[in-house]
Amino acid sequence: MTAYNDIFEQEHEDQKATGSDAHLLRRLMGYLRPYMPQVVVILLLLVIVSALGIAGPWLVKLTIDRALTSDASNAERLTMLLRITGIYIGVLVVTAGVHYAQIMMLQTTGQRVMFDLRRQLFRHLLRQDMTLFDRQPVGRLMTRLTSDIDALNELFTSGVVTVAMDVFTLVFIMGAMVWMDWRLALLSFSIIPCLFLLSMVFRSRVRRAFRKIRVRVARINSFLQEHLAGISVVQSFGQEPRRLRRFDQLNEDHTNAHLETVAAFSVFFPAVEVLSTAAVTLLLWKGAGLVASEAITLGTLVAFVQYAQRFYRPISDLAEKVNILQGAMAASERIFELLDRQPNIRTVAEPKGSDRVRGEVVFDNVRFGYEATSNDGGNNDSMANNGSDDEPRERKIVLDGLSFRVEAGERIAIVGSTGAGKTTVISLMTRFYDVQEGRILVDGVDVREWEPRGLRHNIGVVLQDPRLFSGTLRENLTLWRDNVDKLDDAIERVGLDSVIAGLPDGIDEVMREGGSRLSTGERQLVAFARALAHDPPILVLDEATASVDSETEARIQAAIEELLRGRTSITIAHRLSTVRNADRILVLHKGRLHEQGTHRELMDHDGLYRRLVDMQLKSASVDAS
Amino acid sequence: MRISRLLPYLRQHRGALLIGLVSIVVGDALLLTAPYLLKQAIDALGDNQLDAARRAALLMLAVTAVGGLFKFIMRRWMIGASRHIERDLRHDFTEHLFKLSPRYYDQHKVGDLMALATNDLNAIRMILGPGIMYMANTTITLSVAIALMASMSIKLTLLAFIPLPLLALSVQQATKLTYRRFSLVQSQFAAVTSTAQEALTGIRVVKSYAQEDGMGDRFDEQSHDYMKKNISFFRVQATMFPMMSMLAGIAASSCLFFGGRMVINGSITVGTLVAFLAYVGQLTWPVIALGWTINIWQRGLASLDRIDKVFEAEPEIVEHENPQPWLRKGAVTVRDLSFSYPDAPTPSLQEVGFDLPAGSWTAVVGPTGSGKTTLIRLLSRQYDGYGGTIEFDGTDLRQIALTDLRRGLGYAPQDGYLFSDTLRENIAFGAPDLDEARLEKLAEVSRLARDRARFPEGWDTPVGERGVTLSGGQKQRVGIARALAHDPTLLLLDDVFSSVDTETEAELLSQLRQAWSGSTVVLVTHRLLAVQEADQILVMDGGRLVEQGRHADLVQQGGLYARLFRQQLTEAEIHALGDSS
Ligand SMILES: Nc1ncnc2c1ncn2[C@@H]1O[C@H](COP(=O)(O)OP(=O)(O)OP(=O)(O)O)[C@@H](O)[C@H]1O
Ligand SMILES: Nc1ncnc2c1ncn2[C@@H]1O[C@H](COP(=O)(O)OP(=O)(O)OP(=O)(O)O)[C@@H](O)[C@H]1O
Ligand SMILES: [Mg+2]
Ligand SMILES: [Mg+2]
Repeated sequence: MTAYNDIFEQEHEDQKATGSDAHLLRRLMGYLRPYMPQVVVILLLLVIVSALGIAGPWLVKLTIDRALTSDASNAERLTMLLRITGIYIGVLVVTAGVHYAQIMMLQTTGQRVMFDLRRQLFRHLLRQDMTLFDRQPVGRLMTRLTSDIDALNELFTSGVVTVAMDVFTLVFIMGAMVWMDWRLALLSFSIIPCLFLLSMVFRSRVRRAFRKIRVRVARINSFLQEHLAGISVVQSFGQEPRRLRRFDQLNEDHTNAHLETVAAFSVFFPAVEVLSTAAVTLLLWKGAGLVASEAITLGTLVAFVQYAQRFYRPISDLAEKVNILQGAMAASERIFELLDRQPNIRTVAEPKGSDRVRGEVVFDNVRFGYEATSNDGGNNDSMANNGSDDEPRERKIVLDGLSFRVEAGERIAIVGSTGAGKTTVISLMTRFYDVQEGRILVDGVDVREWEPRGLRHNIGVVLQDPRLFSGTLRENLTLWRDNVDKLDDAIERVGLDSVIAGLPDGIDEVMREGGSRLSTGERQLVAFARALAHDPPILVLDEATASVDSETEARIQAAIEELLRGRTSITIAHRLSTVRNADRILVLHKGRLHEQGTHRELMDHDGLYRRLVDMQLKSASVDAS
Repeated sequence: MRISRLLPYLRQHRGALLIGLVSIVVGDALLLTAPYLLKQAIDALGDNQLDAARRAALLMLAVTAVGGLFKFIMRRWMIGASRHIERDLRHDFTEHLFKLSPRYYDQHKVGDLMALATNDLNAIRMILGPGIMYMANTTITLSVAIALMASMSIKLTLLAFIPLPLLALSVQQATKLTYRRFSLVQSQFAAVTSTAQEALTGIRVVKSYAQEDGMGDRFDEQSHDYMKKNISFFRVQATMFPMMSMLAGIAASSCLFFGGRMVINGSITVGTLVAFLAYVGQLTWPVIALGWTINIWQRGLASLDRIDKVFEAEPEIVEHENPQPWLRKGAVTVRDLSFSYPDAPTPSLQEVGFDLPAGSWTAVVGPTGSGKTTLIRLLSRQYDGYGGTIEFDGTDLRQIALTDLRRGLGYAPQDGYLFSDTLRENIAFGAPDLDEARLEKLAEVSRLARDRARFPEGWDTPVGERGVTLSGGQKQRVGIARALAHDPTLLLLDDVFSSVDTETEAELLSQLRQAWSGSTVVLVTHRLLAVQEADQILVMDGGRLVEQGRHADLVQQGGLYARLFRQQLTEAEIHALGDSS
């Protein structure tokens, strides 16, 4: 079994529901609240449509009793017939008009609600802390945002409101039946308990299958998303067949879950049909006797039979709706689960605002380890909050009592071997994660007391892995902000202007997903320029020029010299040429500050830093002579 | 004809489909006799024949029960088959996507393709299951009912169908509109998907720049558009359904009127009229379902067209019709190599030529954007449309059997793409049967072994999507180990030391030299200090190979390389100075 399998098999498919159906429904109805006027109108229209819907058999009964089997003269009977037909057609036309209005309003409202929900969910997602994104594949989150919400849409449009219509229709029909003849009416209702029982059994089976479907669709999405984005790796390693086999498993599971619903429905629908025919048979059996004894007219019996048949349609419709409802319920469980997840990164009641900082950063005895992503919680499909409150599962400590101080305006470099925790320092400073012990102060205020976005506004980060968005290069640099006046300056300083000159549409060139149109180094330049353009008081460069040649790098360093004056900068680099000019170099080792000082001091100290420099020196001096 | 794309699938499941279709015919035929029996029952009652009426009622129940059985079979087989076909289609679609070359992915968004694989495929399935089922159902019900009705009274039947031309007209209009508007809905859906996908993939950037709201607005814009397109699509639906119900109702009312007149004239019985009305009633549902069926078909066809476009895309990299084995010695000859990316104004490689002797070490250096990665991509045959030739051991690259090529190539891409598997699975990506000893060896060579203690579950630690839970240098080293796992003849390492500290880099290089002495290695790097011992250094600039040779010679030439090198050398000298003072 591949690990893929393991990760996914951990998802419990029959996860406990987030609440009862009633609870879910109530929550869903909450989204309808802003549209109450529309909902009321829709319901009114529905009542009208279903009331008009029962007119048919009634008119037929009238025709039979008054026009066809009455003793009046032929002429009178014909006029009667004409009048009834006229009414019938009038009713039909009105029904169609009202029905149109009702569907239109319903769909429009449904779409609005979906829009609201999608908007809420997306914003909620973006507000989540990094732990969620470390664990949840993007494809799975996207399934929530797209197909799950669409399933909910069905709930509103085909589901709830049409169910209301079916219920109205049922009530009207029942009323009409009771009014005509209560004995026959009771007889017709006798199938209702049977139908009820049938749908109860059916419902639980279908719900289970639908839950599985939701999970499995998300798996397929994650798989595809990952493998298509990494297609060149898959192909270069000739792994298409093997990966495809893995996909087949996911695909097969998905199909099997659907087949379970097919099995349930194939029994359910015919069963409903047979049951309702049984009701008609009963009616005829009993009714025949009543007609024979002249207790009721033939017309009444015919109308009854017709009503009984109409009785069956809403019920079988309801069954179809159960299908949709169950799917939607399964989807809404997942959506609400995600919506209920509170970010582990919490904002205090009165967070410090977003004013520009001076740029002093203090790490005070910071201890931190990432939550283990494996075990049950890790790649579990559950989005439930794993709670920062409860005792964290085993964490591998990355930073262990790290303390240092960066003065405002100081130029700091952090070095250390790979995996030493340099990037982690940055993630903590920008509060992607919270420390386990100790504290981090920016301008003397604990980062936990900052409004996270206000804090991040102050810190311009160039991430180790430069990612671009599709959209124009300009949008990538400004990130859709309009007031970026330092843009041209930033572009020039990092030497991006020559890259832009080479693009057909210049700065308005549309970038592809991930920025695959540019070379890696060029992308780093974009990320660099982006950070500079936002003019932050604290600039963080995490291997910002690692994929850039040394000549370009030296040029950039010279060009930003002036920009760095007066702001705090933290540079992480392995290339010593990048760090040697720093005011102070921090050497990170095994999660602690191993040594610190200027380049010169550290070289004199004969420690880890000196060893790293010597490595480079040795290889260089071979030919230097 | 686009529907022909589905024929092979239909053929494959013809057994199930046939059973389904036969069941529809039988089931419908049986169920349609019910109103006839109803007529008999009522007529019998009219004649005061109580027993006959009751017998007819019982018969009706029996007929419905048997008909229900057939309906069960129909659902089971038809819809079941449609699910199987969906599965097969999705398999074939994914298989095809796996074949398409990087060039295709340069031009298409993953989000769009995913929307196709899920939403559109489902729309197609709807044709195959419910679509065919309802269509057959409708056709059969209509024709049987019409035949039965005609047998009772031709005149009345004709009268009942007065609204038919209107029906045909509205069906035709609805068909066109549904198709057009649904296509718009689907492509907007893909746009929504793509926006979300990007924002979530780039979440670190979004958050670092506190752009949650900006991204949210972008997403809202897309989904607002999606909403509007949906509403315009539903306008068609909202017209169609009431319209169909109305037309069906009009048929019933014209029956009632004309039939009523005939009853008054005495030309038919009340029972006949009631049965007639029952038939018209039974027709109502199929006619309304017709609207639904049209909807399904048009949606499905719109999706089929979209899928078809992808299926029609030819993979760029295909097996040569006369594939040659690769001798796996490792000598590479490149002549006059030129290459432009699609829609790029300037070529990324121009007339590059060099030789790599078997087992040699070559460093490729040069400024950002000079074409180093492009060269590696061409050597690993990710793009085909280049000018000039590339030969491996004397065989043209494009002629070498693909499996041979993939097996003999070790490739570590610059962005080190990892999968959300465990470390072990990622390293063994190209060599599924990797044993423990070899894994340890690879970890040793790639200097991952050192980090092992940091991984909570050792080699079985999941790395997260794209390796998000690893450090930059760890990701790169996993990428290196992965490239080595299947013992490649030609190893292509694209700037894989950029996030690795110099100490680890030096260890890694010396390990590699020892353990992979037989392989030809091409190493792209910006760290010149580490590559002086390379057998050959290729210096790229602006897509051209500007210098080439050994380190000492290049330094002597005093060109770009010497400049780049001196840049780093002066640093080294500064260090040396700082050291001695
Ligand atoms: N999101 C995460 N979840 C779990 N573990 C993580 C995560 N990010 C990093 N780690 C682990 O924490 C340790 C420190 O990682 P970090 O990225 O801070 O290293 P680094 O010093 O930046 O290294 P490099 O120079 O290679 O980029 C590594 O062992 C890594 O595997
Ligand atoms: N998929 C693509 N489509 C269009 N143009 C591209 C594509 N990939 C790269 N380019 C362009 O081709 C040129 C060469 O890119 P390449 O990636 O080969 O550079 P590189 O030498 O590897 O640079 P780096 O050192 O930054 O990785 C660059 O100008 C780049 O903008
Ligand atoms: Mg890092
Ligand atoms: Mg490159």
